[in-house]
Amino acid sequence: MKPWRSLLIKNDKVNRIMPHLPDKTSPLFTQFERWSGKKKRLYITNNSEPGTNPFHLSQNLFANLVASPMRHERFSKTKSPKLLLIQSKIDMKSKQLKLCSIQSRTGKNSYVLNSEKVLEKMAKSPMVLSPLHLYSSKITNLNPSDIAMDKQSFLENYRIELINSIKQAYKNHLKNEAKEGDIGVIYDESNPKIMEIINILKGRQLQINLGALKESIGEEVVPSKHFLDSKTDMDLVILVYKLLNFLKN
Amino acid sequence: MSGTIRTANAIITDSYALIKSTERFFLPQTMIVNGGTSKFLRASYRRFMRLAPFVSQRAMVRSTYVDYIRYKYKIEDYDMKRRLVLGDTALPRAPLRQQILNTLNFIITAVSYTEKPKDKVQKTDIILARKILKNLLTMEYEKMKKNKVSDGKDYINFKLKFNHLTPGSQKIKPISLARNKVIKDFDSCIVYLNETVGLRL
Repeated sequence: MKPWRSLLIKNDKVNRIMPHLPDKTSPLFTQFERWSGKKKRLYITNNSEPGTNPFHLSQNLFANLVASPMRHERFSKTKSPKLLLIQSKIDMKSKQLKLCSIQSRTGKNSYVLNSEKVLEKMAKSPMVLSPLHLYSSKITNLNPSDIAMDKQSFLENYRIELINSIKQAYKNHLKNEAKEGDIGVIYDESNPKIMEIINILKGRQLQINLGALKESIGEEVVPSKHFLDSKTDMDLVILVYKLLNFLKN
Repeated sequence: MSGTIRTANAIITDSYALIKSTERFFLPQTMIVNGGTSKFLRASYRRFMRLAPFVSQRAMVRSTYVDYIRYKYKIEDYDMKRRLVLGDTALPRAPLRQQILNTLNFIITAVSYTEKPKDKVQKTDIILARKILKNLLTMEYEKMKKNKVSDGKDYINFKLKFNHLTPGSQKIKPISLARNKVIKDFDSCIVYLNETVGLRL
């Protein structure tokens, strides 16, 4: 760092006084918490606690899915965590509508449910998939007929894109040793169960079977039995879950 | 400018009223080890209800929470729900007492505040537990939103018989098909979460 820079950033001679009122205590403040109008929280000081076991929720696939922010689902008009839904995005330049495998906040989005069967039945025009507020807005000035969508193969395209992003993610992470809290992925065509919780030596483990959907995914996506680390590979696990949920019902 | 007011029971900061005495929200050790089943259930029920003011300031959310706890204790057939999601060959369920203890700890985690978290795990646990609780209550509200219009059928479908979790029944309208699917996804995620963490949400 250059010397003049350190002078500007950190000058010992300058006393920065943060505006802060001193803590107030007074006998008149009895039971102020009842009428203070603030959100109530339990104040946990880690010394006095009758220690609770940590849940390790950030390493749990289902906790991550369920904790994602709520979004409005177009067909059912109910709210649902957005990782359980598919994002459909309109590209405002090319006026193209498509389903995205990896959700992002850019652009104009709406959310539809994650099921190939139901979408095949219900998604018959771009109008029902696109965010409705665009059509009433005077700024975007958009007509439903302007939007282009590949009606025959947009679901097929979505599946291919999803599988491709899974393959892409697999290139970065792959390891074969099981650890506690890891997620097992197998390819067993004889086993009809897609997701299962099994007993291993150290406790319980989630096992995902991609072979149950053999007609829809090629074996080249997942070569053999392996484990995904729930700490580092959570994005990949979420993608795999999305694919399973999309195809299974 | 920020000011903090300290009273005998609480610290009131800019955004929160932090309650200092936490003993009455935890189950006493003697009750956990050798309380009778019905005593234990009633004691834990009381503690869940005591936590209601911490869940939200809005009466609507609070009443959703209270109704949810009451439904879980008195009405829900959890074994049936679990069987429908996991299948008949699933592993045996964890003991009830342990599940309830974990769930009480989960709710306490969701409504707690700590200045210096022990580690990163505690910090993320508090954030995620709160989000899960909020989403769960939103979803409970969504389930019952149209119950009056549908003559109580939603209550029977989603809460008593779990028709949305059973496969089949193709004759329903497309909109309710979509609604069933969305709620089914959420409910099965919650059951899997319960199984992996040892909860009973």
